[in-house]
Amino acid sequence: MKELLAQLSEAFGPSGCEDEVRDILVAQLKPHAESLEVDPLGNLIAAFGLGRSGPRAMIAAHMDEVGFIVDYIEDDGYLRFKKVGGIDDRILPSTRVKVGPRRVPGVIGIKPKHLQKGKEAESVVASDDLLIDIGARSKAEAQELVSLGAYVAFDTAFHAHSDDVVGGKALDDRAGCAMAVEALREPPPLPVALAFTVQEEIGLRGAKVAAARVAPDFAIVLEATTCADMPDPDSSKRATRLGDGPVLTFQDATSIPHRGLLELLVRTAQDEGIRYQWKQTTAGGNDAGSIHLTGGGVPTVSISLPCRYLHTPYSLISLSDMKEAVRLVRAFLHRVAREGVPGL
Amino acid sequence: MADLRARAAALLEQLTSFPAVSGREEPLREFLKEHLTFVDEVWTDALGNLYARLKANASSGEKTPKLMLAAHMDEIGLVVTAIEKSGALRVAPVGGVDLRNLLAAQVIVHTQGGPLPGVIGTIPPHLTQAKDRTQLPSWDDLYIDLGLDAEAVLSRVRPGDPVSMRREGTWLANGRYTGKALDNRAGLAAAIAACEALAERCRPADVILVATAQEEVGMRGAVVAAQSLSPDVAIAIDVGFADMPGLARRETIQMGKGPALSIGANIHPGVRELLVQAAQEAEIDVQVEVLPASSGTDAWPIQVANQGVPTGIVSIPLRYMHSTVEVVDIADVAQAAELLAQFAAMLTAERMGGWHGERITGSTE
Repeated sequence: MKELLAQLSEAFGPSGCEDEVRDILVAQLKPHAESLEVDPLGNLIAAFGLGRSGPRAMIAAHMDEVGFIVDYIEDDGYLRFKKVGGIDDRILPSTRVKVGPRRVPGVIGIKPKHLQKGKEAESVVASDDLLIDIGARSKAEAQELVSLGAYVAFDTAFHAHSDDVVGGKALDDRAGCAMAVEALREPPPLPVALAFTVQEEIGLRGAKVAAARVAPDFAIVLEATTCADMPDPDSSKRATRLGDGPVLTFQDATSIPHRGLLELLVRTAQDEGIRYQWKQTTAGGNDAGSIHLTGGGVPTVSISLPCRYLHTPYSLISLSDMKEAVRLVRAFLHRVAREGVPGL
Repeated sequence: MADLRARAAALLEQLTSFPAVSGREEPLREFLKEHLTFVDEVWTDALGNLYARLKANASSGEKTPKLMLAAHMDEIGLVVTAIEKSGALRVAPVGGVDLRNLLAAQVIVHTQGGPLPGVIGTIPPHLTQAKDRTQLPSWDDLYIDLGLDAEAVLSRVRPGDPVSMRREGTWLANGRYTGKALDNRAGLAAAIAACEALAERCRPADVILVATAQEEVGMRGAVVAAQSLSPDVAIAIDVGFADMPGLARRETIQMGKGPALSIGANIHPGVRELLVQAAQEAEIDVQVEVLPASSGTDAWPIQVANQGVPTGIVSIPLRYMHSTVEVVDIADVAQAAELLAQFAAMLTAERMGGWHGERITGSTE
């Protein structure tokens, strides 16, 4: 799972440009998925257990990551950009990026400290005032390498800090993608559609049509979620804690999980001896926000991973959290296969 | 020139791969000790400066000039000040670090047991308000997360461990190289490439390349280096502010337009004139960088070492100084190397005439 995660993390995939991530997943899934299809938005849907009876599950993980898009090329060859997804402007100075289909390397730099005047040193440079420097000396030179509308992603190498903690970009939600693949390495007890969705970071858009296509009886969203447990792990504002196991959500900004399904998930974790934690905030949202509103409504729960520094060039997750989450997904599928979707 | 460009490029890639936070330059110094095999002598001193001497191989008349080429090897960084119970590391800046370049940056903590990669922690946008995102954190809020449990951190990290930025260099378009510590690996690469070229050339002067320590915390290595060498002439090779949007043209020099020859009180007019002649001789375009008082380079202390040293500055244009995305144009680095080699080859006792003052009347005998 670590090798796949490394590959997925280093893949280029801002919202709307998920092809490279999808290609990796297609290669992974081709040997054992019973069907593989790509929908008009670019969602990848892999079906398993087609002949099985029982409620139809949808397991969703999003392929896209936050990034940028080039919206103007200056006469002197610099690129202007807009953010794609939620990024804090304060992290942008000194960022290294890759631009467009040719993955042209670029940098975002600011005025040297020595030449800042007045209050500049204490002020945040807005992303609209920043530039990407690709080394081009003129607009014409830049246009040979980059076109308007080129997507831009962080340029970050994956790294293992220990046997447990790994770092890289886009772990939100490539970790979810890797978990979904891993969870279905053994045949499921009921029909399952894995949906690798596009455009989550700009409004949960891929999941909406993926859910309409799959028409599931229930859904599980695999996500990477906020983790602010440093420097104070005991802070009530930590949301989650790295290494404390998979995260269950009672409510966030985009959905309130189906109560019966959530209780069944909790009982599954308890019965299997899987340590889990609650996301201690209602901030943030995920594909559940779209999926649960599909058709006549879909009972939906999230199983998330604590992810420090998500939406920056370098985030951290725990592999043991990931493994436990996969174990929980598998156990939950068996539980629902046995007991059905509560209330349905 | 094509050879020199390839050489400068290879050196730049190599030199940026070794950390050398001010006062903790040992990894780069050890590399240089091994690498500088083409010189006659290599030695170090108590401040951590590294010296490499190429002896003169041609006559220069009455006296063999002693030329000091000073390029600082240290880089800005951080130092661990305290370790929280959680394993989060608190840090202070070493040199002129702009906090705005640090948020979410990757770093390497250099411990006794080896390097540990980490990241400067930030709060995700999901958990901050819009108004929080317009405020910079303070140095006291900053911490490094090593992705290790607290016990592992406490057993491996000590206050005082140096922290360098984790960023590998890479090439942009048009021979532009980006990375951290190009201030002043670009200058050091130029100085080394110049000495390599000089090893094959006729040189009437003794040339001593000094990779100076602790420039970024107040040009301290150069103080000692110049005092102990007592050179007849010195050139500091460093980087200058290159053009970028938001900076006035008069504040900057241009990328790709050749090295700049600084002018001002810190620069001896005779030395500068010979640099101009050397540039003409080598057919190199040079720019002018006007420095009203302190150059902020090693040239500042060198000029006033002992009884005074005629000193010049060769400045390589560099964008986004003191960040991990600094950019230089390799052509500028190669041309600086060519210029330095040409200057050294032209430096004879005769050409230094008058640079060291004169006795106007009386006698000490």
